[in-house]
Amino acid sequence: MTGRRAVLTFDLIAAAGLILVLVVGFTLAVRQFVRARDYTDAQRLLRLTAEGELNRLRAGLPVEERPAAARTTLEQRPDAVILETSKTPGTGVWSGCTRVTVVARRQIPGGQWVRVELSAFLPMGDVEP
Amino acid sequence: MTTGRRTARAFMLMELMWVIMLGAVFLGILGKLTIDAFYLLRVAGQHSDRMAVMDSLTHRLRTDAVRAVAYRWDGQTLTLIRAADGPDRDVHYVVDVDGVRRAEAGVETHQWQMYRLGFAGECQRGLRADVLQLEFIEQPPERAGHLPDRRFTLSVLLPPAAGDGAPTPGGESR
Repeated sequence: MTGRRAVLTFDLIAAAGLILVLVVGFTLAVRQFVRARDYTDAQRLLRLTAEGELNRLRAGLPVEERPAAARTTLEQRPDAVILETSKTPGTGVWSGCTRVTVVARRQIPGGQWVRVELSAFLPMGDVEP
Repeated sequence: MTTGRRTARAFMLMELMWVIMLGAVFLGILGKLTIDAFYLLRVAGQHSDRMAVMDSLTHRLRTDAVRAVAYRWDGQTLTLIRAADGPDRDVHYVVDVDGVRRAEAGVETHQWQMYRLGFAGECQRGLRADVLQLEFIEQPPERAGHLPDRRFTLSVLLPPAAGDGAPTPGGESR
């Protein structure tokens, strides 16, 4: 009888261990998957936002006239996009142009920061110094 | 039957009940995990489809905008004018809340539509050029209704506005 009990108890322990390993593995895989998805989505959003900012500069649109939707994405949400624009005068073949660099940053769940940087040379007159 | 054998049977029965109970719990956990995994795969697949719709529309709209020489925007329909080709070759984009349709020469060529994906267009007139802001609004999955919508804003530089129907300074929204 003692032998049968030992077999059953061993079965239970082995099954519990296997289930535990499966649960932990599944949870880790899902977390990695969600994190990767968050990262690629944030990259896409930041790229579109930075491109939009460059287009606004090309078109001569003032920053305060952003569409309502863009303002919501940029400023009002907790995971807001932070935009930084810097301008440096072009040199060499790019003299007469201004190099505009737009950096868009955003924090994704988990605390990681995602950053996208886009640059373009715009005619000097198109960009305010 | 002796008392010792009865006791042994009772122990066996109790252990079997334990095994059945714990087995049921483990199977329940595994079943839940499996269902969640399939749900996650389905939601992720739908999300990828929406991103593909966005990419397809972005590529087509940018290509058409570059080839156009003028445009009209009435708050819902963007008309990209290809002067060299004549009026028959104008490209029309109709932006509805639930989809975007593209027509060329009066024939509908594309339709972008996806479950839980909304669209909104806004045209802004700048000092040097005009910009179309096309917003993609992705609603969260059914079980995650508490999450906010995801918004991706596509910005496309437009050619000069053509005559009537041009947006007013400061933008025109729908």
